[in-house]
Amino acid sequence: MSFNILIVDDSRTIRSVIKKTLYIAGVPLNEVYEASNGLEGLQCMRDNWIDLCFADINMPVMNGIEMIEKMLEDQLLAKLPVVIVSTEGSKTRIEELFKKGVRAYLRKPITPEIVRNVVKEILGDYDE
Amino acid sequence: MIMMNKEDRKILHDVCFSVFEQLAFMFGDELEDDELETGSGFFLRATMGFRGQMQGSVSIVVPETISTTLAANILGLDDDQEVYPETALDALRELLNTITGRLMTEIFGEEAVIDLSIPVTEQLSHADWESLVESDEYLAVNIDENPVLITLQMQQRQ
Repeated sequence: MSFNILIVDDSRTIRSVIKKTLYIAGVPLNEVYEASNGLEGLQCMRDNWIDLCFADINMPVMNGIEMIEKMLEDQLLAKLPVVIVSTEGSKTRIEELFKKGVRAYLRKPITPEIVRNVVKEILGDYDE
Repeated sequence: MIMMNKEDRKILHDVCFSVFEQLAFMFGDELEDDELETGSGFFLRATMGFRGQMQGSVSIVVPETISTTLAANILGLDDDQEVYPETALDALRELLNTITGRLMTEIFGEEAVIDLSIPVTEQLSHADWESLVESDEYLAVNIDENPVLITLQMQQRQ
């Protein structure tokens, strides 16, 4: 089984780093979609089957929190697992994200080991 | 404007080295003022604002020559892979974003809620660099034999 992953981040550098990290982590990938803000991310989710979304918080046009709030309003997207990848270090804000259904929070810079563990925890052990 | 105190300077120093090391696999040490001589060429500055219990900005200035190495290291590119100018700018913005995020937690604590702006970049001339160096409001570090300036400016929230 391989997964469709969406990466939402305004930095092309970070999108490339996450993509590369997924490959290094050995995550079986079908398609990796990219979006540069929350609005583009929502559109991509509506146009494609996505298994897991990695998203930043601080983005222009629509930030990560607004994107998650919009997902919760949409029956088809409400259950799509989201992992936040950010520099955010505020416990208060991270707790708010988990209350909104975010499945995991990764603080930049990320490592393949951390990504592997998070993907396995959310999508199941792909090595088996 | 609140000047960088000794404690903030130490935090900035530690965060900066840690992020350069973890994100870009680049190592360095602190520079003295008399070691800030540079050759010709231009510089790139990335700046981003923050707003919480205090407000201010963080910026990083690097010689243009180091920006491509920085991007190549962050992206894990091979030596023969070209780094486009926009990629180098984006990598610099991301480096600053990571430094600033860490810095905010170290200075204000994990309970504080800080809003960060989107980082912006600009090109600086050698004269701009020299006037920055004269201002003395920076942390100067040596990253892979290149001088890098980092500034933290803070003021009470209005």
